[in-house]
This record gives sequence, structure tokens and C-alpha cells, in this order.
Amino acid sequence: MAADPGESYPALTPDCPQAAGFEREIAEQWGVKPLGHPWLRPLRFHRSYRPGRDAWGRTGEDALLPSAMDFFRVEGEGLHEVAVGPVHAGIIEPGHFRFQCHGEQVLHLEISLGYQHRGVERALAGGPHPRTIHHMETLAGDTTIGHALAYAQAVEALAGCRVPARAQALRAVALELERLANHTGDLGALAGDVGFLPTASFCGRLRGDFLNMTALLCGSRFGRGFVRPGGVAFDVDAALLAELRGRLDATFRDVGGAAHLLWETASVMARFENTGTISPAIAVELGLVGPAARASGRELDVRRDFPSGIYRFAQLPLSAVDSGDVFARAYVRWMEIQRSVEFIRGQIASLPGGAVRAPCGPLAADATVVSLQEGWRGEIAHVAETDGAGRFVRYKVVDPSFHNWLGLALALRNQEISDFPLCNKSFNLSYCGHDL
Amino acid sequence: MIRALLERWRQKHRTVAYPAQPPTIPERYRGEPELAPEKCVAGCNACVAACPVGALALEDGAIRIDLGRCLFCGDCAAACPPGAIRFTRDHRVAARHRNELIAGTAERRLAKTLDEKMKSLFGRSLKLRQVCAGGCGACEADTNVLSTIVFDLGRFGIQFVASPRHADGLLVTGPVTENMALALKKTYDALPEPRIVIAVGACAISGGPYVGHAEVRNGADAVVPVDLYIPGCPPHPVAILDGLLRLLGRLDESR
Repeated sequence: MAADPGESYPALTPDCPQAAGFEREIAEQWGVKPLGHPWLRPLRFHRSYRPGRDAWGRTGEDALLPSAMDFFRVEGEGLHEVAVGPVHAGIIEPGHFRFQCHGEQVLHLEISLGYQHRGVERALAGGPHPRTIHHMETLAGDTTIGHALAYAQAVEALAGCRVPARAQALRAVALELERLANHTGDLGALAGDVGFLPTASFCGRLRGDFLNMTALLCGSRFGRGFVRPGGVAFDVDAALLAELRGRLDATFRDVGGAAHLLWETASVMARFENTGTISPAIAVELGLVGPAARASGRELDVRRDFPSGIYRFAQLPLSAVDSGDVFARAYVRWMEIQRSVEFIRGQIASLPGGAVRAPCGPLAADATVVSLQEGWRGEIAHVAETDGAGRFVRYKVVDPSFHNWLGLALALRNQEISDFPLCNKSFNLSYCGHDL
Repeated sequence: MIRALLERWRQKHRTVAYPAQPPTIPERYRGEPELAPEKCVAGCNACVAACPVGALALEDGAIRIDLGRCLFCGDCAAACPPGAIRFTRDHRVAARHRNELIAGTAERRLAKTLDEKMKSLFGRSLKLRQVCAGGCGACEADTNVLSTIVFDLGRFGIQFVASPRHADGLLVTGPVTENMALALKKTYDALPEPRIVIAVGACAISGGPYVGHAEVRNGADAVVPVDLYIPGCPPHPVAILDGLLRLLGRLDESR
């Protein structure tokens, strides 16, 4: 698949806002301008992949400083600007947030990223290399299983490899454990952001308990080394499954106790409800994915809509609510926690026998594959295109955060600036997944 | 209120007994490697070829693993038919100098305590500012977890603070992207002296999976001087805690 658009083409974004980020990306990577794009700014602040073709006319000698661009400004009496980042107050990834405020009220938030850009996609070309799986596992560290799985599935499709049923089930167990750890951590962090310490403290521990279940499978709390093309690198025995089941039940009981404290506490609900609301219409316009979309009533879930692996046979009910606020994004997580636990119980009770890995041979030449997974943040999309020798000509990664960052910006409109941490955590997006 | 108290009573006290008791490390954890070069087959180069980041070298009949580069993925051990490389469950991997991270050499050693003057300043109270400079979020998460009730970092007098002006040191994660190099340097410059820098994870030590990319600086010490290296991808929280406590002289140096 290739098209030569020349230097420019009419932008799609005015008619289809979902394309906004993609058109900025195309402009930055290839120096092709989408004419009429309403806000054409660099996304990641790196040099064009085609030397001499820069959409902003920047010459080779200038240092490319991140966020060196014009921000959208609101002007008038009593208006002021607040700049935050790239280094933030907590232990989190870097990014720059520019708020246009009237008093405490946020009129507009612009998010400028790219600080985490490590040149992943450029390095993937020509692969698979021995390092490729490690790039996948560190695209977004909290989504190690999700991205490794999307990659493995792409490679297996290109190689015509049939993954054993036991491996498919174990992969899904690991993917749901990843979801459990992150959703539980988010409930705790949301509690922390409204100063409700019981749930914050409980969930801080419980998130780690889920990570330790992943470590039970493969030795790494983040699932490093577990998913490999052809299957998984570690098998399980009855004793390990019994241990996993016991820990899962005990941890789930405690997560339930911690979560219910949130819904039963009026001071928490007063902060969660009607804060950072994204209407269903906006969710569609922006193309939000994952729990953030399902919290605005969008019925989207790759596990249901494009099932692969064991999800073709074992389905999870879709969790959606429609109020679109911080509460909705928190409650969708709690619904998904319950369903993921039920799913894992089912899988380990009826784990298929047989091998956990099949040989995965050379990749098909001149082929294109699209691979989707429902990571804990939402849809993970990988697209691989091979050349005549079966090497990657181009490998494109779309982390769910790529779709959702604009959702956070719009959720802040007309909110108090002091609600930013709460709104931010309710999306909990990946900087490195976006910056690649 | 009563429900919060009941739940608190039910979930009990959960802080780990470490360091009074040995830590709980997962059965399949890959920590400090154990090398047996005498098992090597002459002419075999399988481990070196299997390493995704060039952390391994075979020299003069010795196997050397640069733990500052190592992702602890185990691919080298899996590729070695006679089993000359084995990853143990030993979580004690931190070191004070870059050359002390090379497994299979006489220089490899546990991290030593700060000198007397620095120890008297920081030994019982260390405030750290964390800077993520291209980290994937895993090192950050397993650093963050030290402040939860599980590890209760505050009991050692160590605390993460919001401003570099309030900090005694920096804890750096990530390979240091070009786009974060200036912010890292500015944050370091904002720390009052004397100050220390701790590099956590393969990325911050050597660039990790991104070593050699034009978009990164291959680790923190390209921009700031590093006093403690904690290897791993990511290091287990106990490995990070072990490094911090050794630096402050809070652990028995012989163990």
C-alpha cells in the first residue's frame, strides 16, 4: 500500500476530527502537509523521516526543542496561562500541559508531548530484529503484555503460525492480569487525588499483588519475557494454577472492599460525579477507545468486536456506562475488574492441554497485516508491512493513548484547574505509548 | 466511616518484614547471573548472538555480562546448551561504579556505602526527586511502589519530593531522550549541593533496549554524574530498595 500525495493534500480533520493526530503524525514523519488542518503542530518533535522535507520548514541545523511552538491562546481581561511540565511533581512520565484560565476555570488545555520519543518505529523497520520484542515490551511499560501480544499476533499471521490453545489461554490470563493491576492502581490513584486515603492505600498494595501474579507466571511483574511469537515462553503446572487461583480470590475480595468504599463515600462521589464530562457525541468525534470511550456510552471492545486467540471462544460482557464523567471512568474500571477476575477463573479451571509454543518461521513477503488487541487502556493497533524478503518495510504502532489524549484536553474545558489531576488520572494515558 | 474502619481492620497490616527478614522474590525471577565458563563449548558464540542489546562478551575463556545493559530476559541462558549461564533469584544487583556492573569480572561487587560525610548528611534522611527521561513506565511504577504501604519507604527516612529544591538527589529512569536531556540537566542544576544521582534500570544506565538510537543519549551519565546504578528491566522493587539502603549504609555490607 503506497500513495504519493506530493507535498500536500486537503486535510481530512475538518470533516473527521478523529484524524487530527494522525494527520499531524504524517506531517511530522514525512513532511506532507494536510492543507486546512485546524491545528497543525508537531506531535513528537523529531526530524522528518525524509531529510529536507519538513512540514514546518525547519532547517537541519536548528535544534528541535520539544514544545517549541505556538500554543493556542485565549486573550482578554483576567485571563492567564498556566504551564506545567515536562517534569511533574510525582513519579510519572514527562509531558507539557498549557492551560488557558479565567480565575480557577480552565477555558482550554493544550497538551504538548514528544519528550519520551525514543525512535521506536524507525528502529522497527528492517526487522524483526532480536531487539524487536523488547521494543514491543517497552512501548508502554504498563502494557507489556498488550503490545507484545499485538506484535506476536502480527508476526504469527505473517508466518502462518498456529498458536497452541494452551498458549492462547495463558496469554489471555496475562492480558487480564495486566488489566486488573492497572485498573486497581487507577482506582487507588483516583482515591488519592480526592484525598481519600483508605482506598488509595489498599489499592497501592493490591495493584502490586496482581503484578506479583504476573511474576508468578514469568518472573517479571510486568510480564517481560512471557509472550513470544508462537506462544508463551513459560508453562504452568497444577500447583502454580492453584496458587494463582488462591491469590486471585484473596486479592479480588480486598479490591471489592476498597472499591465499595469509594461508591459509599459521599465526599468521594461529590468529586467524581459531573467532573470532566465527555459526552457520547464528543467521544465519537474524537474516536476515543477503551474504558474512556465505554464510560461515555460507546460500546467498543476489541475482545468482543474483533476477537482473536481464546477470546473467540470465551467472551467477556462489555462494560459501559454513559455519564462520561470521572465517576463513569472509575466505575467502568470496577466493572471490568469483576469481569476479568471471572474470566481468569474460567480459563484456569479449564486450561487446554498441550504445548505452549509452536515454531514461528519466516514472514510472508510483500504482505500487510493489521493486529488488534484490547489492552487495559483500549484498542492497541499494530500494522506491519513486509518487503520481498519478508522484513518489515514499515511497522506502525497505535497505542490507545494516541486517540485519548485529546479526550483529556476536552474533559478539562470549563473545569476547575484543581480538578486536573483527578481528570488526568481518570484517563491515565501513556506518554511513551504516544511518543514511541 | 465505620465501613472504612472495618475494611481497614479486615485488610490488616501489610508492610513487608524486609530488611529484617529476607524478601519474597518470585520463583521465576531473573536476578544476578551465575556464570560457569568452564562449561563453555570451544568456538560457541550462541549467548553473544542471542543477546538483544550486546551485553555479553566472551573474552579469554570468561563470560562477561554487562548488567548495566542486560535486560535480564534470559535469552542467553536459553541459548546456551551446556548451561554456562544461569540467572539466580539474587536481587542484590546495584553497584556504585559502572565497571562494578560487569558480571564475570573481579570488579563485580555489591554497592558500597556513601563516604562518611555524605552518609552523615543523608544516611537517616534522603529526599529524592524523580525524573523520567524516556522511561517506559515500568521502572517508574516499581519505584513508585516503594512509597506504598507494602514497602513503606518513609520508615527508612527516604522520601520522594515534588521539587528539586527540596531534594538531596535525583533518581533517573529512561535512556535520556534528546527531548528530555535539557529538562534533566535543569532539574539536576536546581538541586542544592551536595547532591547524588541514582540511575534505575537498563535504560538509565546504558540506554537499555534503545541503546544506539539517535533519539537517546544512552543513559543518565551522559548528562549528569551517577552515584548509584540499579540494573534491571525493570529492577524488582526490592532490588531498588536494596540499592538505596546499601548506599545509605543501612544494610550489613557482608550480606
